[in-house]
Amino acid sequence: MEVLSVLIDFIVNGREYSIDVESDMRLIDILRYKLGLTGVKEGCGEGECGACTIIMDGEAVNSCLVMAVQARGKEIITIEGLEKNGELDPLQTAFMENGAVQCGYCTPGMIMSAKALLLKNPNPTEEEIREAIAGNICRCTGYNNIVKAVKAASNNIDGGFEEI
Amino acid sequence: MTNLCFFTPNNMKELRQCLSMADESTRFIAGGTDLVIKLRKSSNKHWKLIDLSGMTELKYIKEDENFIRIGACTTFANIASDPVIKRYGRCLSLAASEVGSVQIRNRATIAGNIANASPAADSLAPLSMLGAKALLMDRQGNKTVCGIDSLISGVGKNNLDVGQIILEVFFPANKDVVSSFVKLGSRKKVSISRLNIALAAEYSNGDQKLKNVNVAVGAVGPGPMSAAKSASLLDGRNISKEVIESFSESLAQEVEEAIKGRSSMPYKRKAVMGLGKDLLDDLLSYISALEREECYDR
Repeated sequence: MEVLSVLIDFIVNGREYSIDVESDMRLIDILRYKLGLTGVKEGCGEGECGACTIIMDGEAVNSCLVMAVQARGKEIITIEGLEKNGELDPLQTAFMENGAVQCGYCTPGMIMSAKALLLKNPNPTEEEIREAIAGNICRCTGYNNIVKAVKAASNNIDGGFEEI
Repeated sequence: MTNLCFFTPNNMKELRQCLSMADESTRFIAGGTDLVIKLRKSSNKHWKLIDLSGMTELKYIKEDENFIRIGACTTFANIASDPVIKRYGRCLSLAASEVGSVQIRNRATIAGNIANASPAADSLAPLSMLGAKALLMDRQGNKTVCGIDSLISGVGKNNLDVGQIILEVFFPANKDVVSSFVKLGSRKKVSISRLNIALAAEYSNGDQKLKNVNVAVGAVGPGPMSAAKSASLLDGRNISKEVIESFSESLAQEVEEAIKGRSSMPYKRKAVMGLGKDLLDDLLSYISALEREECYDR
């Protein structure tokens, strides 16, 4: 029960890992520095900017506010886990097609927040999209194109556009 | 120097064992949304951390004959979306839905918000208005009940003993209680309260009057400040335009008295007037929606 040498088992982007972590490491630290998943960005380190957002057991969380030990037994998805067989996720494509990326620093976190929303609610309203990404700060684009991209992907999340 | 020692209980038996070993260096971590930041800012990292994130037994919202019971590790996301909380503790539901961001609400817990004792904590004023109490357990496994207000001893300080833990928060299941919560922050979303107000009162459909009104203002002191004078202006009266004006004036006076001499006083004195109006606007539209639907299902 007492965790001294911290060995944790968890699943990241569909792959099982069993790794030793230092007790003061956060989830973001092991994702970036132990697993090389540098799409997970650190901005504020205080849960304000959302650049470090990942999906843990189906929920969007700030990986800078989760201690590595707390990720034991969890299933994690990072931006690197969205691509399937060389194909980008529809959400990633929609971000490119709608000009929702400028400097790109907020993009992985933004996409993971949107992905967590779409997994639960495939056809969200604009208000629901804005609420879902309210914890992600973008200092370049001004959000409208990001919302547009999420809307576009919401019709396309399972592979096909809905015809009206 | 870093010296963190984690304990990871997964059930009540293991939790009791962890508590029995607790000392001055012990901290509880659940969602971690406050503690991880403190941990990184602290130079003294010789902490024993009892990680409650595996305690599924402490994640629940239950309704029994007399009380609504919320497990300590229940997240704000769960509280915000729960129909039982919406019906019996609307002010808490509204407050929960405005805590931080989706990411924060998915992790932050009700007991963590209380124990962290931030003056800006969003849940404290609503819990106080709902007459909520906490079920505590000490190192020996003894359980006691304590009012939420008396758990806060100062800015960022609680009255919990070493190794004492909050197991549950509960409040009376009273269908006649209507309540509201409003918050003012520095940005529209994801903000820390500069001010918040919670109100709870008894209301019977039809007579359009509030009874036993209680109002608390958050973020003007270590814990929620009771605004009894202002609340009494609403008691037993129709909420007319004049009553709303005098209520917001009275709130301004109470806030001014509470934080006299502080640099934030002129701002908060003014801001609480608008916030008080928003509070009553919300409450009145909620009540008229109830009446339109001619139902007591709240």
